[in-house]
Amino acid sequence: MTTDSNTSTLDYAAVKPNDNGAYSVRNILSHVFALGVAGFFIYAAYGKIGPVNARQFAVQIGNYKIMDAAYSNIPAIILPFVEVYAAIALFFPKTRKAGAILIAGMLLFFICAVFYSAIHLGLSIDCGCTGKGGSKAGWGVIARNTGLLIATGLSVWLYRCEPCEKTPATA
Amino acid sequence: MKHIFGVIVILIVSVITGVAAKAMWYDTWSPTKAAPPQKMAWVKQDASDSTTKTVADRKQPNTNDDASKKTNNNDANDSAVATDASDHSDATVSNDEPEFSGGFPVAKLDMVVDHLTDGTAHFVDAREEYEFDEGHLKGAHLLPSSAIYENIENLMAVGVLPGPGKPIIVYCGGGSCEASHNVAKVMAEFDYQNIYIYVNGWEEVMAEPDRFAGLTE
Repeated sequence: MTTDSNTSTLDYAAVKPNDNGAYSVRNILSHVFALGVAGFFIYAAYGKIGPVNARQFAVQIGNYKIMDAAYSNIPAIILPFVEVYAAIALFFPKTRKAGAILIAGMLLFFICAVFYSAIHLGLSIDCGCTGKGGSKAGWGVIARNTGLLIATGLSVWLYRCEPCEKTPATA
Repeated sequence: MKHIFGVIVILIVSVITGVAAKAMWYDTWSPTKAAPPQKMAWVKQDASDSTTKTVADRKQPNTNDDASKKTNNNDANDSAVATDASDHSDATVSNDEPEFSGGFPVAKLDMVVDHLTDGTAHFVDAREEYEFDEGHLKGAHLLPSSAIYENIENLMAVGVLPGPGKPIIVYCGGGSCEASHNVAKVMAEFDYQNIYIYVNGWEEVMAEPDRFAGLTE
């Protein structure tokens, strides 16, 4: 921390948090939420990547009956990588909004898919959320995804780009 | 605007990574050491076909369905199949012809009860574990469609081995029985033969308590 007028570009001392330093707390919380959501998505993608895991995931997608089962290979191959890259993007502040847009979009889609297949159609299917079996699609999954969606939103909303708000350092 | 650009970049990179992973990694997988690598096709022929077919339909030129080829050698139990065609939706099937569903012969109520009583077939439950725990056919092995690949070795460990042998009857909850079709297809990949689908599944078991008395657990 310095107020030295010779300091160039990013002069953190010139950042203007509010009186009780709330920016820092907001940012810490933002990082915690981002880390939590990103960690979950990377864990979820891990179980879907690989020759056997991708085939199993294709079966799980087919069980939802929201698309022709013949095409379930396409999301089974691509979606895990979208999850990985979106999670990495969410973790880093500079790309957080792009990652959040993708993750929020996926979560909304998953919520709709579970609602349609498990609640509306009444199918007794596995969620397929992490590529492994044992998690029934239903209200519990919808609640968890809603929580992740809120955490994703908070990770963006809480973050303040502190160096961006620096005032010109003056002598 | 730059965030949208970031989203597009992530999507493009994901597609490129996925296609590369498929070509260089996924397609090198084979179900058994002896089997040749099996390509993960973008579009599986006949994969969406869970409707019941007649033998005549099956002989039409959709010859690239490996599962269909592997189940062609069902001989001993053909007479037992389709003995109860009257309660099935496909009215064109005569009693002499076995029905097929998604490339696999359909096991009907009489056949299932006979095999259960005599212990002459393996039964595979394609439902989820919590449903299996609530009740299943006597001696059935759990192979949930959500975790087929990680559990198929358990099936081998209990003596349900690939190749010709006892008929294997796969059942699920009923309805279109998509789960049992998925399980049967993967089992066929692992060179299991003599696979039948009990399409009416657990729904029918519950509806026929007298027929299944003592045959569930």
